[in-house]
Amino acid sequence: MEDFSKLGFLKSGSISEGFVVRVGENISLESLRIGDFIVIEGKIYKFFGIIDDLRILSGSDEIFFDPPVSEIEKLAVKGSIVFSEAQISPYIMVDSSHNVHSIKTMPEHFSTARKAQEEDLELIFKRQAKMPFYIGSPLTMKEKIHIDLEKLCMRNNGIFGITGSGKTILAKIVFSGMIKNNIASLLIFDMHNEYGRFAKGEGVITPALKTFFPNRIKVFDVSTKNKDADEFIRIPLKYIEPEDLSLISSALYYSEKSGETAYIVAKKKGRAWLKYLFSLQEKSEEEITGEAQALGVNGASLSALSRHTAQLRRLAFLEDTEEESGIDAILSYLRNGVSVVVQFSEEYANNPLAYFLVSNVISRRIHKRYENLTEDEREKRRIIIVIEEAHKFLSTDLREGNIFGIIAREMRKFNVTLFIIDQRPSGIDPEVLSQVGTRFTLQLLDDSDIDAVFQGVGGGARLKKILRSVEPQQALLFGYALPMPVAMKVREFNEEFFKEVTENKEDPMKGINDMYG
Amino acid sequence: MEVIGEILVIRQGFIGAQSENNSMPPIGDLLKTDGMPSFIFLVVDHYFESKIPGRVPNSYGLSPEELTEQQPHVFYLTRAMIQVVLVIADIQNGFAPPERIPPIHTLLYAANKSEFSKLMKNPSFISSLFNIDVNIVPQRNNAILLLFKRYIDMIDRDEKLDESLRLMRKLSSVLKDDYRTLKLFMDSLEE
Repeated sequence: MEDFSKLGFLKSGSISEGFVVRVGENISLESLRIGDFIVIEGKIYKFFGIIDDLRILSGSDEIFFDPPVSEIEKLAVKGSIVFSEAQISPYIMVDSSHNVHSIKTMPEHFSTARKAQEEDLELIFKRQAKMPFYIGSPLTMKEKIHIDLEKLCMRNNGIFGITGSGKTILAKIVFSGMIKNNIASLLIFDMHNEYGRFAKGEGVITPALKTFFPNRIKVFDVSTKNKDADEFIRIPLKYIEPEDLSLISSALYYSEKSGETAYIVAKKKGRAWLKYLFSLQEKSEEEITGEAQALGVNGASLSALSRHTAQLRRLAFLEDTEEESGIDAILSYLRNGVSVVVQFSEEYANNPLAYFLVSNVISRRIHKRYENLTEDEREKRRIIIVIEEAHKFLSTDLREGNIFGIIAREMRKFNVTLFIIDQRPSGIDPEVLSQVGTRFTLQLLDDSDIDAVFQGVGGGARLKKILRSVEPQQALLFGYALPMPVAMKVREFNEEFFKEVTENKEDPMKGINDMYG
Repeated sequence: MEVIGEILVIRQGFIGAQSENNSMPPIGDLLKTDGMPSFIFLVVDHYFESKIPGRVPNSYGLSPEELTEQQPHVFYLTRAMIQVVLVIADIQNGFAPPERIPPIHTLLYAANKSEFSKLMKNPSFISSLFNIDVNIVPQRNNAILLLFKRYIDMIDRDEKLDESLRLMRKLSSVLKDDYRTLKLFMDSLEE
């Protein structure tokens, strides 16, 4: 029987430029595609790589003056006069004891190249992983690709892709794996209400994390109108510091000058500074000028600052109260292994101001709590902070004192990491991006975004070609948690998946039907 | 075994055999010798030779039929000759390049269908066909083409397509530097 997994043989190449495989004449070129996972059998090692280019060539141009017409003639000259080659980027080599090495040597001429099979994928992605989790399949295969959740949780991660590329589904799959394996507590700032009990999108309602793990997820909401929420978030005004506002300055439309004024006001007025600014809004211009003189700031600036902060008064969860609600509870849930989804529903839906402020304040609290801990006191429980639309608050302009930047750079040793979900990676501070260990890259179209994702990645130029061929629901994964980059179809987020991960004895679809008919 | 001819001329790569009973095997036929090794020959051409040296036969405008009727002795004085080329030797367990040429007066026999098939399925046989020097045998390609066509005609219908493709593939690797000849072969084999 013909071995269809055989691709061809090694024809030429180098370690630095990649290997060239002469494709066998019985292989249809269209059965191969960029990103396919290839094994080249050396005498001592198996070399694993991916196709990053395909080429058709001819041994003589004479054939094009009187080209073959019939199919049989075309078949006959294939492999002798005309032929095809696949360019393979090698990534790892595996010895006979299944130890993985980086590429240090290369196989000889005529070594057999073949498409990877189930056992190869298992060897590379499953057996090497301490905590493997099935996440997808290679683009042209049905076999499973596993990611090492333990390694994944050790560093910052990012999911990047344009709208509609499947970021949320992929995130839900990864998060389900993390929660199911009880490897970390997630703190998800859920901008579009997709990770709580259900997600409503494009006319379809799908179950989400709370449905799968009713006892291991708490849903918080800033709006008290959300009936699905377990608890609500209330933030005392005194918790807000000028740094919190600098991160949302664009949402508040305030300038650098206003920022400086805010620092002076906070210094003079202490923790009641914001309440004081609110009180100015009822005062006349003259009174404000008087106040400004007392504080030693410019009257116009103080007036502007007070006007800009007026927007915050509309956020009902900001309360002038001594007691706080939610934030400490969130921390204690996280430490006890319960993941928290913070939602922004009803009046706060699509309200960037609320989203940035709340995520910022809570993250700052976590940071504050952790940064002074000694080695022994540090949390054993991993906490992963998930933020969406990261480019809006991780841009280079907001680098100064940015809490998420600090978490990305410094908090790994405290077992706190960042999980970024974003559609414009080019907007993220490169310094932060360089701290992203594992990158799940879905479809990206903008060149600057593609460049940003591959910044500082070895062999980035080769991977770029693969990324350009990625379609919606497909992803290119590379980085710390994977032994080699892999292009894959994200696994189906369907009932089979629900059954596999859920700890809920009820059928997840039943809940949807009960609620929405 | 049916005797087809007898080797009478061996001269600097040229081998001529007298045909038995003036019945000429077609160009592109395969002939073999008896014994081990058995030498395999390809029929590349036909020619006639006078039995009386220096005599040039003349038909005086008669058609072959009239000539046969009126002057039958003309035919008794000519020999029908077959030009053959030694291609390969069938040794006990496979094929090998011939180490020598069988001596004069060796008898040539028709290869049977299974021997024909076995040879045509052997890659070194096909390669050897193209090792025949065209300077000595200018009719080489024509003979090989006829041989291939005979083979394709001979095999079962359900095997035809696979075998044609296999032969064409072999041809395209042997003739990869001579596409014009290859195209000629492919076009003819497809007809």
